[in-house]
Amino acid sequence: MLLATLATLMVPAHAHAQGGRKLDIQPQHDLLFGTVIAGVPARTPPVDGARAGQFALTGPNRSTVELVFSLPATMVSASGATMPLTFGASDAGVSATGAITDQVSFDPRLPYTTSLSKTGRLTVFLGGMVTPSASQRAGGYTATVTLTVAVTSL
Amino acid sequence: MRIASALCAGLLVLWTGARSLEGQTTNTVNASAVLGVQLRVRGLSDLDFGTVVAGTNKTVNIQAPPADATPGQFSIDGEKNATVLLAFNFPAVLLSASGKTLAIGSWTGCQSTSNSVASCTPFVFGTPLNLRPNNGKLWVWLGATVSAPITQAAGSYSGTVQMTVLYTGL
Repeated sequence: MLLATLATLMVPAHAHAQGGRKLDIQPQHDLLFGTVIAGVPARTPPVDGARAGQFALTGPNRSTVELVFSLPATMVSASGATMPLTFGASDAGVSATGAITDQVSFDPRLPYTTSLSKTGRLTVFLGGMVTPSASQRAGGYTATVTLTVAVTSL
Repeated sequence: MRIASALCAGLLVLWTGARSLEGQTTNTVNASAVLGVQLRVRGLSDLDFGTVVAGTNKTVNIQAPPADATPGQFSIDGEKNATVLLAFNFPAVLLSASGKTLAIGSWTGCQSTSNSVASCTPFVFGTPLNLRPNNGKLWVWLGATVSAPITQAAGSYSGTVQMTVLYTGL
């Protein structure tokens, strides 16, 4: 009775170890807006291979994961000036193949549930929009975007 | 049986705990932008036809104007190596103080990334132009032709040319 119960309990753990790997996120590319002009909004779409933010996820094969972004509302210059940064309903995408042209779009402002590929991979892309004011101070502006991924089922 | 149950419960807790530790992770990317230089346009020299004789046309050729005439000149300052589009509002006539008109047309443009009319390159209105790569500067010259009929009333005539510059590529 004891042996039978142990076997039942251990099977999922065994499958977990064989089916993939520990969940991991690696940043691949920053979200870039390049040079923008005061008073002129600038958008980087998630399909822009040169500018879209990009994360590479690895984890248990075919596991279901929930993606949650922490999105800043502003970018900040070295002198403390701020520039509005916004994200729209189609500013994020996931690709099981890793190809930027093979994205399924989602709203980065909301938790999003998807699955890792059969090899335990997923690439997440992020776009956004900056809206410099007409009196925006010149210079460089930065912000940090955080992505948290949780396995919700194996 | 009691022992088996207790052991199973303990294993379940341990396994669930391990899954939780491996089941969530976080990382970041940076978002960045550089606010570029705003465009600044200045009118440097008026387009001056000098003396025009009634019954003749007079043309200000930008690189070879008549001795008593000068081409108009604007300067543009903006982001290095940016592409801009120049939009002009050209008058069709010049006006005298008494309201008489003098026809003007056949506008021509010449541009250069150095402030030298001798080195400027003629351009077609509506064609995107590039600002200088190392400092974002561009100079623009304008020429035109006035047509004075034999009945043209004597006097001074003037008008205003407006140039609007838009970024089209950064």
